[in-house]
Amino acid sequence: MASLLEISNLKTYIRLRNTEVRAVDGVSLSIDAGETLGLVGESGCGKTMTGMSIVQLLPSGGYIASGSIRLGDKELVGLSDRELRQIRGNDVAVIFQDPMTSLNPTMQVGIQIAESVRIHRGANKAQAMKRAEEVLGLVGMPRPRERLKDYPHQLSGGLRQRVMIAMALSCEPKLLIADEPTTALDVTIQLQILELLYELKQRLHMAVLLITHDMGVIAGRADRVIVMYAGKIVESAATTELFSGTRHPYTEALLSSIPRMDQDEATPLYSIPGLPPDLSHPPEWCRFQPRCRYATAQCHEEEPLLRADTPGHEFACFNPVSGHTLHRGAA
Amino acid sequence: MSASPTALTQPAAADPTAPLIEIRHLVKEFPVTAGAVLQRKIGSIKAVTDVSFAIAKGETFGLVGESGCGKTTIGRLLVGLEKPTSGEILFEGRDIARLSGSERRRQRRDLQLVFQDPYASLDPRMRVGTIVREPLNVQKIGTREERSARVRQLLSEVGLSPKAVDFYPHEFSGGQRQRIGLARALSLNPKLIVADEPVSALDVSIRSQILNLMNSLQKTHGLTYLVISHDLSVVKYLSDRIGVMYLGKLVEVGPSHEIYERPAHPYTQGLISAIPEPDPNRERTKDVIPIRGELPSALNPPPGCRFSTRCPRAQALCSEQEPPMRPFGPQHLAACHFPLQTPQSAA
Repeated sequence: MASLLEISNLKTYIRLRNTEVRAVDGVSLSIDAGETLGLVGESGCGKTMTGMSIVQLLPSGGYIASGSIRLGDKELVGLSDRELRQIRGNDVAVIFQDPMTSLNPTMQVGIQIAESVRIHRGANKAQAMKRAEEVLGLVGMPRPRERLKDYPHQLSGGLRQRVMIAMALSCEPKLLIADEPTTALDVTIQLQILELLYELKQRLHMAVLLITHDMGVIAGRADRVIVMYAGKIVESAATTELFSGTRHPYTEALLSSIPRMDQDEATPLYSIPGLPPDLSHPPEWCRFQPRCRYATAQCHEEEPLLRADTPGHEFACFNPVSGHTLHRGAA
Repeated sequence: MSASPTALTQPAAADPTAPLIEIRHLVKEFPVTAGAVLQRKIGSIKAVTDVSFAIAKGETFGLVGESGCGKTTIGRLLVGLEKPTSGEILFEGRDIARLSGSERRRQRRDLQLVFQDPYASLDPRMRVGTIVREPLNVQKIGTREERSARVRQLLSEVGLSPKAVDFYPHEFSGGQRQRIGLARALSLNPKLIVADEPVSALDVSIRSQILNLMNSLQKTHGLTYLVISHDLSVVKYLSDRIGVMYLGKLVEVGPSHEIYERPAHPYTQGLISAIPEPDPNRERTKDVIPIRGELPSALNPPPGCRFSTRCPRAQALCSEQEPPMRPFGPQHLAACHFPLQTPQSAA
């Protein structure tokens, strides 16, 4: 069965005054209906740009240089603005880290939720408000009818995030792109929101692209994980496989640098020396090489391509780590 | 109020002499006014309410809690950026809460703050050398040459090249800027450094660099730390003892591993279980105790126990009477009517 979303060799670049940043430099992935795919990496790795390329909400100067993005049987790259607007909010919805930047501060939240329903489903004002109240209830908002008249600033961070989720789900999209949806929230509220997303995903049989830097969130919520570094995919596997059978040195380094609650505090954490490469002039060899503790001469000459030793587990490395890695402390 | 709370919160094992810093019944309220012209006071935000704890010399004490719990305010009160509404701050036995002028300035040498946001806490128009040197200038320490030498030494101690003196903050990464902040904080040879969210703004793989650096600086300089963060894993990694705060109150305090393995307060337990761990098996099988609802207003905190409106164990007593701090083990205290552990009989 064909997947819901299929990205092939996507290259998304950002044109700046004097240079061009190759933010996403040849990324391919697929998401099946109802699946949660985690896209993880640190700032600048290209994970947000990959997600935003799907709905073409790119920053100024950003453009898709090449590649294909298929949603079902529809090719999204090359669609006109009008055609894209029919897909955004309808088939594909997005929720962001900071609800304040995506909620209109001058409009009541009920109207903002209803707007999506009116545009995509052609409902009238009354029907749309009814649906808005329904969706607010679905996202666990206490006393939804009263909340319809609230303005965003009257709500806490967690409640605003629920409003954003309500807006995103009002038209029952097939795919939800969640870009750091809980990063700005308190940890107890984060748990509430993640539980809510999971529940809604099950109920609506919705696929989720969960973009985050938080390996803990990924561990608990993603079915499969893709790790990105410097605009490329370095490892891709089912979640349990990624953690217990890590192959790429970057993934291993990342996991070793996180303090865990059951950590032995006497052991120093592993820290990755150096910084990611400049993506306006990326090297033609392995992008992680200068910071990799296992690098060999080959790593400085050629670029490793993604390959799989076991089905479903791909990694791009000439010297992959063995599999049962020590995630605690410096190796 | 029960018998002197500081006797109970004092870290007896760490240091036989008095603690380096001790806060007693600290209260901070921020008035809220209404009306454009008359600015009449309509209430106050009870940011910190009756908080007491002590930190021993050489210890790392972690203060953890979510938005609005008051932990940042406590950090600011300690270094004198805010004045308490009431209560005492005893530094080496002297109350420094109400110092002013030259006494305050001299005191500043001993207590320094590393700020949350490495992107906002360094003056973008000052070169790094000037930034790190500024405290020495203000306190009039050393000659010009001595100050320059000290700046170069501090920069290399925090892992930066002495050449950094000539560059501006924007030319550095977040992690490097945090190192600059640490160098600046160290310039006056402080006894206590308050680190407010020292790594939250940094990428995951850079955090470990800063955490390792903080640990090694502590050993070299005999520093005492107050680490403030919403991130319990970071706090636990750095701290010997942890204090958990909720809506202005200290709800639990104790040695880090005790807090983690045997939390007495339901909020502490809820906080711990909410932390997503990078371990799929644990994440999918662990007993999650979700804390429902939203944080109440700090303008009008709930009566009795402030956590009662969201607590899975709350009963009628909880909204009538504030629970006292009780011991649950050596140096382990919590304020709860229906705690998760059996309280010890008072020592």
